[in-house]
Amino acid sequence: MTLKKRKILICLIGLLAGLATWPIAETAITLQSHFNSYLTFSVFLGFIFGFFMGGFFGSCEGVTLSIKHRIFTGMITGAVIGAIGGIAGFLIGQGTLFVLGEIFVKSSSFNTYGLPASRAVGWAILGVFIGIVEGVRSKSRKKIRAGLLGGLVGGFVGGLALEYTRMNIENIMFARLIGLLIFGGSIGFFYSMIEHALSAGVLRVLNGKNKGQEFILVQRRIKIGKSQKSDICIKKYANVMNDHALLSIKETKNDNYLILRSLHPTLPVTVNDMQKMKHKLLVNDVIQIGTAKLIYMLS
Amino acid sequence: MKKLLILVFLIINSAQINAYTIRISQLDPSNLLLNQKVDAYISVTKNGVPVRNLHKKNFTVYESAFNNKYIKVPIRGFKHRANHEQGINFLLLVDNSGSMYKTLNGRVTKNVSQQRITIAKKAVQAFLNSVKNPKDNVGLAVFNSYYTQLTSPDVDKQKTFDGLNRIIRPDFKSGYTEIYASICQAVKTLNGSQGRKVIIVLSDGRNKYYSLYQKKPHHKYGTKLFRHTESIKDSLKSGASIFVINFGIGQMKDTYLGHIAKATGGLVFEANSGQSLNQMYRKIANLVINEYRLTYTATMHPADIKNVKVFLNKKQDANMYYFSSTVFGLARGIFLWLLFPLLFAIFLLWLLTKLKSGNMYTGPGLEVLERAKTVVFDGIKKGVTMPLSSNSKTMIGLGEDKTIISSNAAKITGDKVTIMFDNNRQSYILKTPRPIKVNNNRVTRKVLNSGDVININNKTIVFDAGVE
Repeated sequence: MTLKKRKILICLIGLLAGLATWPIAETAITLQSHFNSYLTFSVFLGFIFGFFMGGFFGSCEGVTLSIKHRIFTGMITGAVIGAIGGIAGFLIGQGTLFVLGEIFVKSSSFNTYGLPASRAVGWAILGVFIGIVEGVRSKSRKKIRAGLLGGLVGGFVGGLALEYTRMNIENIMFARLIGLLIFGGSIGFFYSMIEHALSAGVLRVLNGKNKGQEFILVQRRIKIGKSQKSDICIKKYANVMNDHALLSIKETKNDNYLILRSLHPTLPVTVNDMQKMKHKLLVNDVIQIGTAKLIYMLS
Repeated sequence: MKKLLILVFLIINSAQINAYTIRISQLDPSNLLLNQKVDAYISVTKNGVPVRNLHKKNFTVYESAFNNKYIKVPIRGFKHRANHEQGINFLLLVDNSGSMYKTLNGRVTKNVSQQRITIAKKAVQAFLNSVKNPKDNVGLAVFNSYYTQLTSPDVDKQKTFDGLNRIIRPDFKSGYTEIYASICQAVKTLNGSQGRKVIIVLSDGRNKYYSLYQKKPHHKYGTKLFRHTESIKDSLKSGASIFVINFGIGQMKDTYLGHIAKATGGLVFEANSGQSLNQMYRKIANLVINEYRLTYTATMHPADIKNVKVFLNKKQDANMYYFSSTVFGLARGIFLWLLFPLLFAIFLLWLLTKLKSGNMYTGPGLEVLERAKTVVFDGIKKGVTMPLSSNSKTMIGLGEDKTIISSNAAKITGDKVTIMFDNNRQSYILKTPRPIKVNNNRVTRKVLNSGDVININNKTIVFDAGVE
């Protein structure tokens, strides 16, 4: 899958997250009278909301790479982190409402701008938690950073859209549907854009059954192998070990570069037709691992 | 004898209670989310004078989500003169229409000291001097065809004094009286303020729509005509109560201002002189300071609006409502069909998981990686891998200003890179008169392996032997 298709797919999954969360949210809010306070009810709503949104977004990496194992682990991780984020988002959002309320208190534009903006901050918090799902799953700080930024911007923009949709569309159920779709799509869009911007390039598969697939290089340590746990999983090729090679992104003040090294002393990697145990990658370098060939390109 | 005295006391007490007037002046649900509590500000008066010695047990509070079934709610907190302790947010909304530049009797005058606006300004100054509580905030706004915020509510009263000097006489077109729209604007100023919010409207006339009288859209409101019900709705949403002072002698009064005051927990007063105007401002402040604050635990029944009823000794009662919608708004019920979007979303996600990640191509071919418009395949659409035939040669080179990949040598000018199938080796071989880069190594001849990268004319071309 190319990067472009990956971006489209992440946006699509965002839309699906919104679509799936809508009926759950509609059902959840009917339970209001069973709660003893608005606080516990808001916590419950946040939990439900984050659980489903996070679950869907958690599947992104597995879906884009067609790795079933990663779809399920991603969904579980996403649901758990999303649920925490949902609770935090709803509570922080309400707290922010009070803080911003004080700022906007003297302004006549409180209802038009202050209130939606305050609530959008809460949605942005939820977006942050949804965005960092893949980073937490893969234990990558850089992916967390990308998710944090993407989720924050996407969550805020989507949250604003959700609030304004509710304000401007009379049919509340329909308004919530539209709002949630925009919210999900927006997180997907901004996440994929920022992930792209923070990436160190892509590895593109040149031959075989995965020909054309592109792996975005975001995290600092990227394992390449046929294991489903490998960050770059090339399982349909001969002579590839479970964890065959490691790609490290080195960041210095002046330069960022990538080091490729073999994780097996007896199985060096081939770069530009030469066998090497360790190699500093340059753009357009051709890597061969087993029978799989990949080219390093800037994204 | 003792029983008789008690009976007499109860009768007298009952008679006194019956003479009381109870009013909910404000409902403040700003703490609803955090602690499930609502503050109800209650004014109890006898002959217009605040009653001071009431206790928690004198009051009972009921709440209803549907306006039909009231549920008694527990009172958690009770305080008299709580407004003095926490401060009051006053917004003085003063009429600055053309008629305010006439005398109290409505006669045209050039004597500034006799004009209503001058008397009103003095009354505002007197009110400001009477506000001694450092926690009170006072703001000032004027209205005519337009609403003008002169000072936002602030503890610094000097700002409001200064604001009075910025009141200027409106021109003819600006001299209409958009009272309802101005109340809506004024309410926004108090949005988000904690505690007691009071707007005192001073007006000498009725609401007059600019767009109706001028027969053209208002510069700010367009053709929209603000109704008094909008003022009520906005005030209740904000939790502000509107007090009205009808000022002047013999002028037409706006009856809807009375509705606004009543619905929002305020009152209407009449002032026909500077002295009575001063008294009315002081009276309103005194009423507000002497209010009781009842803090009760709210119900959780879903509703956009909750009705509240407060009883004094189970006899007199007062009503008001507040807005209690949640982040998502109200539920519309549980519908079976809601399962479909959920299942549909799950189904689509499942479909996405079935997408193949790679770009499958079974035969040998050449693919240009860049989205290069300057590459032309022979008879093949751009962006598609060009198949290689084992029976013919394929050439890569320059033709005009484009890189051409073709089996027709005539299309290429200059040096050609040739790729052909070697039957002996059962492999494709690349030949070129000048060295080119294959896998970043300079070569003139190479047996191609699947995935080899050919760099020519700054184009990256991938050779794929195909999948076995």
